[in-house]
Amino acid sequence: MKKSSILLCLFCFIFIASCIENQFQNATVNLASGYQLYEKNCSNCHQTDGSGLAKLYPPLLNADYIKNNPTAIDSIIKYGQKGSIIVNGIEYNIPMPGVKNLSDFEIKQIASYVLIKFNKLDSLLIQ
Amino acid sequence: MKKLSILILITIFIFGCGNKKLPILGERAVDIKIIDGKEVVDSIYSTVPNFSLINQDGKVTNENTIKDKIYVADFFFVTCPTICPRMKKNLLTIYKKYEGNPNVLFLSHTIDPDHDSVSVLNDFANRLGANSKQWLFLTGNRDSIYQLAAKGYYATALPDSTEPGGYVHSGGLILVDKKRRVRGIYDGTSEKDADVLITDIEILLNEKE
Repeated sequence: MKKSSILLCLFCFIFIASCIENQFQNATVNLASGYQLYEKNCSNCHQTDGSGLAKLYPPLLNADYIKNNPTAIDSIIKYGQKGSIIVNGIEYNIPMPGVKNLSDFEIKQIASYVLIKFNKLDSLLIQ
Repeated sequence: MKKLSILILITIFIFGCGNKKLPILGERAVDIKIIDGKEVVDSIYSTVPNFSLINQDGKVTNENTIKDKIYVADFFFVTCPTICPRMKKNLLTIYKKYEGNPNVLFLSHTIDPDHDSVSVLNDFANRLGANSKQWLFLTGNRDSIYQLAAKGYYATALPDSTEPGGYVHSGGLILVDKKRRVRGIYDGTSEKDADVLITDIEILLNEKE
């Protein structure tokens, strides 16, 4: 009886540990894909390092707008952004077109990359 | 004495190598003249043709604006989602280096004049931090701009509905000397090319007539 409960515990431990590791691997893979998708679709304007360009294209790196609206990124990527917004105290007003030909999953990967790499935000989006 | 002359020769050789000359691009014609009974061969180089466009302040910009100036030209459009922002970032770096230098100008031509009006270009230039006396954002007749791109600067600019943003254009930065001759074309999306362009502007600034 004792032996079997120890075995059960061990089994549970291995199961959970492998799940965590699996999730960790997934997160790493997603970040790598997020980076590639970001480079292809976003970095022309927002730059590879996320610093943006002058008062034309807002930064995504350490951006208060993103920290205050972490869930807005998905819809901005999908549908674009029009009108005036203020990021880190600077007003930006160049319309951004929605990025076509991206799946919802790919959009999540980009959003996660922006949240984690540029804003050090823990993302619940990575699954 | 012999040693001294060798030393002088070596010195001349070394300093001579340091003076890199930039090529003159484009077709050239040969002009043969007879001066004092002797045949003199002279090359006639291609130059940027006369033009008349409007800058971000609504002022006419033409060949008189660029007279005796070294300048960097490019073709872009404000809503371009692909290579233009990278070109503008590199151009901004080069502009900052020569900001306030009366001998160096920047001419950014829109290839989407229907959208990029004077006020749109004005806002764009202000947001980029460009002074309208030195960095001119030009709009005007669409066909004139496309012809100027092709004939004056060896650049491509055409509408193309299959391209993101609706236009296809080359991402070149074109360096032009004081005599309106194209002296170099650089990849506007490459930071390395931007460094080379700065080196070449220095060469042109030091070039004797």
